[in-house]
Amino acid sequence: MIAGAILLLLGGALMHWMAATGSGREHGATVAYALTALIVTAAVGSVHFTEGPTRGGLGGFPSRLYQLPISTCCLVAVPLVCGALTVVGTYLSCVLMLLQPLGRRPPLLWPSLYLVAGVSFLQSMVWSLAFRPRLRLLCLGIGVALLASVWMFFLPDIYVGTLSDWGFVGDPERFMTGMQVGLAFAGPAAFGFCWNRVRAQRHRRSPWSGRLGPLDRKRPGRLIGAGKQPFASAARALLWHEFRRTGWVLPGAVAVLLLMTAIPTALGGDGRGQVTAGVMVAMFMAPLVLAKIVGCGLAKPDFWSDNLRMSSFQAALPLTAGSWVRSKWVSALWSSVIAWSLTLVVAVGWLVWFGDFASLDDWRIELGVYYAWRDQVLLMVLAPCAGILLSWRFLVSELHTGLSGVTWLRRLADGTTAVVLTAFFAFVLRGGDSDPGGLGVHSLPPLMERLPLWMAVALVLKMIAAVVAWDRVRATGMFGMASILAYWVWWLIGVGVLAATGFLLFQNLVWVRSLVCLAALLVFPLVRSAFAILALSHNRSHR
Amino acid sequence: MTTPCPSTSSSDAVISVAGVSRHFGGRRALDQVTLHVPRGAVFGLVGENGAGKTTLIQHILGLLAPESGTVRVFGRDPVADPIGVLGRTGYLSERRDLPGWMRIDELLRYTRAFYPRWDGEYAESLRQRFALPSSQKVQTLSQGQQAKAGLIVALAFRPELLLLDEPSSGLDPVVRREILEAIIRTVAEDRRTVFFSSHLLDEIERVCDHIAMIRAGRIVLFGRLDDIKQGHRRLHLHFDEPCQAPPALEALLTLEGAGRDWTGLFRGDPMRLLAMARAAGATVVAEEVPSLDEVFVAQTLVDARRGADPHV
Repeated sequence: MIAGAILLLLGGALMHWMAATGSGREHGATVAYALTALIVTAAVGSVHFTEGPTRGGLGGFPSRLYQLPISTCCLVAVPLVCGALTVVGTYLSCVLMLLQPLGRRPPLLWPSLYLVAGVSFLQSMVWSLAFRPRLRLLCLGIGVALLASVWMFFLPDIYVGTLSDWGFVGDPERFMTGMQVGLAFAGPAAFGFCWNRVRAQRHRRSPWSGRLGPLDRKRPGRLIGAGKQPFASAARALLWHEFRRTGWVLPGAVAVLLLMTAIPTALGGDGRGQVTAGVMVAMFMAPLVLAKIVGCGLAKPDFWSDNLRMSSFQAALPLTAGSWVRSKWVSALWSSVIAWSLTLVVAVGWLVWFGDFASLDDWRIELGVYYAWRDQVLLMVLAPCAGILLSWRFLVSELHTGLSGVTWLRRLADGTTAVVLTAFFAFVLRGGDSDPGGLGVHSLPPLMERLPLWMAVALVLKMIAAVVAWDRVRATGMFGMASILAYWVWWLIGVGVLAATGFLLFQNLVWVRSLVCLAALLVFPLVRSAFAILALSHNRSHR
Repeated sequence: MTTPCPSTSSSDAVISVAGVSRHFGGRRALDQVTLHVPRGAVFGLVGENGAGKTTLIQHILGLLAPESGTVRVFGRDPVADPIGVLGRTGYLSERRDLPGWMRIDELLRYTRAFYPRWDGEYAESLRQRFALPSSQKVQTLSQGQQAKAGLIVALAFRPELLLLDEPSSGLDPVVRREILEAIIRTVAEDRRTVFFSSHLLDEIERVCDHIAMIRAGRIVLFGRLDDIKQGHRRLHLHFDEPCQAPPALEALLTLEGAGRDWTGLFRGDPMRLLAMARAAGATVVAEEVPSLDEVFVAQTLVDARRGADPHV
């Protein structure tokens, strides 16, 4: 919240300066909208009012409040109202401080109602499903995805056209007024549901409220690791632990996103030819973008806990820091492989059953013109491998910050990830509206000319840092020499696959080809992997 | 009045802590702590809440690196060689932070992978004795059941050193008794060493043969339990003339009474104490060996007075 307030104040000052000087108003508006989205999202995420158990991650309704001499209705209503007021207040502050100085007058009523409804439902999910973590995760995932996308339907340009497409003949404005009334009732409905569930938890009235019922023991999730045989080795046990806690998250998130992409577009029918290319791009981007997000959680000692310190149970196991980090690497690799396998299966299935091959003709022709058939086959083999390696890279790239146990470092890394993803999406959205020439590499000649030089310097520095860092790892004894060599071989394989893919992809553009090879050497983690081991060793003994 | 290290040399000690200090922010958690725990000992660390017991145990486990001084367990540095130390050490945390999402059978299966000497039959017998359902999740267990689960994990590989941080904290007497019995059984095995912290002096007195008292990060009393108890006496004194003020006596820890009759807790050789009392003009009416609880309270009061006035 404090970070959001600081961002708001800084953004407000920037917008006022832009409005006063009249410079860059168009870009300023884009930045202001992006900041608004970022700050409001942060506000929505921070008003869940849970008080988690120290282990087990995000908790439920703060159970210590049950002892207060206050009715459950009041207990639930106060945080719900506070949360809704916080988010609406945040939105109105953003409008006032970021958008109005630039002359923008965004709507106030429906976004406020929308945010109240959204926050109320998210809070009710968090509290009501506290003892069903996987179901809660699924519901929250769907809820957040809906909250992040349905708002567009309230934009006049969208709903007028959509309603007429649906055959609606009445007044769209009246329809939207009805929708807003519906939104106004959504908050109280969420409150009613939530009140009922929290009351059950408070008085232990249902199996949801406490110990899991007998049905729970038959859940499919229990099948993972349900064997009775001892683990073959400590590494297997660690991998089982890591995968049960974290490994399934990326495949699960990818599966949800794939379904949310595939099902509506498959059912849409009309115009699916136009959306085929878009669906393919969205599906293949999903494992990469989600890996970056999931990587923020995977970087912590426990994905589901805010505590960056290792639990004393884990820390007291007779293992080196290197063993833990290796288990995270292996688990992340399995996650990437499963996520990409799912993606390939769903994408190919969707293309075969619902796709329009004609809309991909341009791509097919271009492939035929630029690449020999042998190269095409190689690309088809290498591209998924490169995707897996890049997803793996995104998953493990922040281990050195999360495992350090240093809170400010972790927050800095999370903030950087948020900025990078926001910039990426802004670039993608903006790229869709502008002329293709505007985004070409030649539009940035001074930077691009010097880029290879900077990359080469960065590579030299990286290799020096890698030698120093891995030598330090070897000296601490946290990772055996054979394991260090194995990691370097893995690094060479990763770099080789990425470079080969880039080389093949840009074989006709010598300059870009060399640049991509350099980028492959830079992008695959080497120094930060050593730092991750050192950071966890540091964290374990609280040095 | 800090007791010097007992005769146990560091060479035959399972745990050797020498001059260890640690600060958290501006607060001094450990101050030049030195102690040696001999092999086969049942060592009790007593102290008030916040005295530094858990901090010291975490140093022994290597979960905290000392700012100054050295820690050696089995002659190894636990920070530099975690496998060498933790592979032979069973640990029960005060926080009971077992992974709550695991079932009991999963917890045992997971933990055994890290200990080659894990005794599956022993683990199962302990589980049955503690009546823990194997299919129940750890997070749904009561506090006492979680302590039992933690104890199974700590005991099942028959560790050479068992470290227990407040093992009976917050537990009912029945569970506490079960845990103490498990500890006693462990000690009965050959050459096992137990180090546990507690603020419950009766259980320390019942189980331990060596103790250390820690206060504000400093070891204020340290030695064999019998020696400590024999080194203290409660004397009931009778003076011929009424004393207007408490009589000034050597080796006195606490004194209460009025007029001619006073009762004091003294520290030192019993014969010398008796001679000293007679020299002060008092008749020793009764002589008793104090309980550990009385020694601890007296020592704490003395230390608190010394903290307030260094000339005491």
